[in-house]
Amino acid sequence: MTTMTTTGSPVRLDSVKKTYGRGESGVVALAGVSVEFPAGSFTAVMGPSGSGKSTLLHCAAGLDRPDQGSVTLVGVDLKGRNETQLTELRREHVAFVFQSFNLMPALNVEENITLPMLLAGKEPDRAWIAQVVERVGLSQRVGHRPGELSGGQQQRVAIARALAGRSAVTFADEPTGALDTTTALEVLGLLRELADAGQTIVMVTHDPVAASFADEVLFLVDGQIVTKMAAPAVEMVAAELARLGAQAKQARGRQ
Amino acid sequence: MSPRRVVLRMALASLRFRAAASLATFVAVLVGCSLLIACGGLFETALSLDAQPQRLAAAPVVVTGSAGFKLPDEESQVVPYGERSGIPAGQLAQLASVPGVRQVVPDTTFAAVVVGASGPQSADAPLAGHGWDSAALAPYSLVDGTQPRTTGQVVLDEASAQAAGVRTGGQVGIAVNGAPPRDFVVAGVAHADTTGPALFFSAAEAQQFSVHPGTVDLAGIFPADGVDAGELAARIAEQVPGLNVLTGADRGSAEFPGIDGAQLPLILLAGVFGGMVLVVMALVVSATISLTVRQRQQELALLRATGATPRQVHRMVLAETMVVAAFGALVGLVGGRFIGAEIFSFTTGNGMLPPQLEFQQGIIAFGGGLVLSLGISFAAAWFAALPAARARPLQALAEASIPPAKVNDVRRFGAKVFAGVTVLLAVATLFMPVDIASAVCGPAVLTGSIAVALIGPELMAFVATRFGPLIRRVGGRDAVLAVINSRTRAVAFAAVLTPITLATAVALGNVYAETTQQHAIIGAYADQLRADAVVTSGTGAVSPALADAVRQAPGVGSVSPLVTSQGWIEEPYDGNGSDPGRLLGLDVRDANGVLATPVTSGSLGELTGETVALPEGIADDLDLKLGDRITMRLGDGAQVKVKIVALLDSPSGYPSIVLPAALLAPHTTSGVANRLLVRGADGQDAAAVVSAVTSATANWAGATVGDSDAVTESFAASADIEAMIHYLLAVLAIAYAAIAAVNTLAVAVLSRRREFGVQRLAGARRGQVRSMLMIEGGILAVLGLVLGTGISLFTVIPMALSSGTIVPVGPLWVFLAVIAAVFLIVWPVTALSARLAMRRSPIEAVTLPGQ
Repeated sequence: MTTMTTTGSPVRLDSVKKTYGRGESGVVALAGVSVEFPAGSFTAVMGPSGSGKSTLLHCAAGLDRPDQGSVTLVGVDLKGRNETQLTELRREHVAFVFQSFNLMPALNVEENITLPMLLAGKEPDRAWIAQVVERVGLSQRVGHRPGELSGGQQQRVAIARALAGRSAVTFADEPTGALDTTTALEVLGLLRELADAGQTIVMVTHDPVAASFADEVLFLVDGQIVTKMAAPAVEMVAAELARLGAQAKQARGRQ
Repeated sequence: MSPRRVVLRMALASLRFRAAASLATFVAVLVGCSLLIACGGLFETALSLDAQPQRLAAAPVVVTGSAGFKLPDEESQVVPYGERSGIPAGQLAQLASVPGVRQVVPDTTFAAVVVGASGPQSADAPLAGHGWDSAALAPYSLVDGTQPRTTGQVVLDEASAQAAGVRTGGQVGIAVNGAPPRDFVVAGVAHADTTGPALFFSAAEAQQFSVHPGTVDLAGIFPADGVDAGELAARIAEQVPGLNVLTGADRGSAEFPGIDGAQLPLILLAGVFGGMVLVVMALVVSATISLTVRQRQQELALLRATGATPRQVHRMVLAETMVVAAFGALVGLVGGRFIGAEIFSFTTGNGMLPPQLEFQQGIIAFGGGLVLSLGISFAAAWFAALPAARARPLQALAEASIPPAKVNDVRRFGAKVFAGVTVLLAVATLFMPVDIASAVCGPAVLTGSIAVALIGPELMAFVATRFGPLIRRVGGRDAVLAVINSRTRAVAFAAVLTPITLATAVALGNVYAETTQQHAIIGAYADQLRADAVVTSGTGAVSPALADAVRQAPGVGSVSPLVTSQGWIEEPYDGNGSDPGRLLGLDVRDANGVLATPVTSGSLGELTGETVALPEGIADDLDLKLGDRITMRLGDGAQVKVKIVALLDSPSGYPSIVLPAALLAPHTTSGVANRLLVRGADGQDAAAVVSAVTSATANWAGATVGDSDAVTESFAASADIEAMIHYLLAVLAIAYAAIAAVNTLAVAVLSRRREFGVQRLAGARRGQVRSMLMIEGGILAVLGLVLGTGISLFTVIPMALSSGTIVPVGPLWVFLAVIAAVFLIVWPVTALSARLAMRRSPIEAVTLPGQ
């Protein structure tokens, strides 16, 4: 693997463009996005449906390939790398927390947490794993399978996986989308802890409450970053979303 | 823990979540492995051809005439002779002079049957007469009396003596070579551990009875003290070339007719059937895997997102399958032992194979079966699991998407190749000699089915689009979703379609190709001969006296013995190789003889002595004309130079070469004809001829008289045996494919639990979901039947064309039974799986993990 910079931003996008489909019917998802996510930052990405926020996350994580521009993940340019190389890179440095479908149904909690390490052929540090499990509050559940856990508990397993692997970056896609308010707050609290412990967090969400846990919020409209908001409060985020929504409505009306 | 072990552990852990699919693979490999081991047993049996000698048990080395015909064009290939090939009497002295030989005991067999008051005692085993010398080969030992010393004396085996109710000193009637029974004095009674009758005559008289003058049938060799049988056999083979030297269980082939001849059919049987099983297994395993891989897209994508490389995902799916396949194959070892023995006892029990043949199932069968099953499972799983490796981590983030029906380019190319091969095989069949056509066209059903399996998803989508409106009209409201599903779930549906298509194609292709061919063969034989009555001897032979008696019956015009055998034209060589031409031995010098084939040139009147009547087609091929001399190699390996005295019209695909009965008969195992064909004089009523012949032969022990149908029947009997093998194969292949169809169908339905849950939440009743599934099943069944029937035509039509019948012939019930079987598989299995799939409440089904 090429040398990587230990300082600076673990995730960097440079003029990234991405279009789905071709020709007239093509939909521009990202229209030249340049952004950096500094180490230890917790960033929320927001925007109306179809604004390209999920595509931004996918491209940043190397799950999808941009048409133009470059993506640098933990100092490695993703261009030209094949699936296996990308996988190994992600396995080493990246964790995911999705809205659902986070866990392998056949494996128990502990196996799910250690899976990336096992796949990489590393022996997990048992004491550390126990500590992580303790921290997300699943000590009583290590032997259970995902089917026997609640939605909140399943998300906590996913976060424990990010913690256990000491990933540099955690990408979260609507992590609280399927959870009730109390559980959602618990999960967000854990993500916040993760960031405080030095991990970089990139979270796509439409929930102003979730966004308020972040250090900064990026607002995306039509594949472009239109606003950045530092130290966001729930009301400010909600107001900005409402404003962007109204703008979009107006724009559609003009057409 | 190494990543490999993690992958394996994960594979094991997820097995329980895929019970239905695992069971499907397990059963497919279990049954497939069993059948392969059974095939391996047949193959091994064919290789060793072991049969324990009974009457020759005491002789450590047995020598017979030449083992087979060394083909002029391929000297390395030796084709066993169809008739027993004897040892020239002159070579006996040579045998005796080989160092280490203590004694050479020659044996000659001839037809001899004890005739009691109620008729012949053992009409089914007439070849029981021997000289007393050969009693040492068993050995038979006298339990009473003395050995036969003079003419008119006989020693009976215990069972025959008991059945005839005679003792030493008594008299017993014996018909030798079909002559009227003569009284013999029982000189003694002998015992040996054998089955079957044995009648021993004095040496002088036995020589007189021999029907193969100048040769002995075989010789038993006793080594001198301390000489090893194997070493001696090798020495004999070296010093007296041209003979067949046998030891151990190989000696059985000298005693029992048909052992050597069983080799090729057995190898073909094992090969064709084994190939079929391999294809079915490969298709089923890959169908099951593609089904589960598609159903697990999201899980696999998640695994990729969690850090598994494409190779690791591929390996996990492969490992899951191989763990199950290994268990299946292990249990299959037990099943193979059982099924192999069953198939073998069925074939020997029905006369397809000589009953003395010993079934061998050893390392070749078990090892080969195991390795082949696991190998083909691995190969099938490896390819079928490739889409798993292509699962993209991004898919983990979205709802499971249904894969498009389009197959990739490699698959489409493969489908084209296999379709092309199918057409080539069908076309090639047209140019093959009819006899070997079946071996060529048989694989067409397999290649055709593979082509369908590869292109299946697109085919399914096409049908749903093209015939959707029609199905909707027929099926009503519930058909709407069924049609949409058939199109959008084309990949899963195609997995079920494959075994149905395969079963149909194999069943119809095998059975109708066989019946069509048999029809043509029997027709060709029967058309060649015309007889108003057929006299069959009960004593293994018809004597000239019986022929005379029949000839003198009122209204009889022409009488001919019927001898059938097989042989080659050696010079100029006809190139028939392992499939020698059919020979008919007849006496058709009369103007109005029993040969129905028109003579195009020459005259049958001259067909006597060293002459032959050749079908025109063969003569043309070999550039022969009337009056030419050709060298023929007859069924016992004898070479005869014959002059062509007549050319015969040969319209059928199965022309027979006609030789004088007197020339051909000595070159058959029994040495004499066993049947007489009778034609009435001009204007005679056939029934009157039959009754006249019946009364003329009333005094002949065991002789039976049949009408003209008996000609066909005598050929049909042997044709039936071949047909039965094909039926057996077809039934087993269908049963296997049917199990596969049940498997994939159940997996396909059970994997849709969540979908049914959603549907029911949206307001569908259980019954509506079920009838939707039934319509889907109906579409599958009809499509499978249509495709299977279409594929089978690539086998059946060329066979019909090349055998000259043009239109396939066979019982309609087979077709109807296949249709019924397909629906009987599809509908009940669908109904049952649907019931299982909808057992939980809809909401539970929707939130079920791992879906």
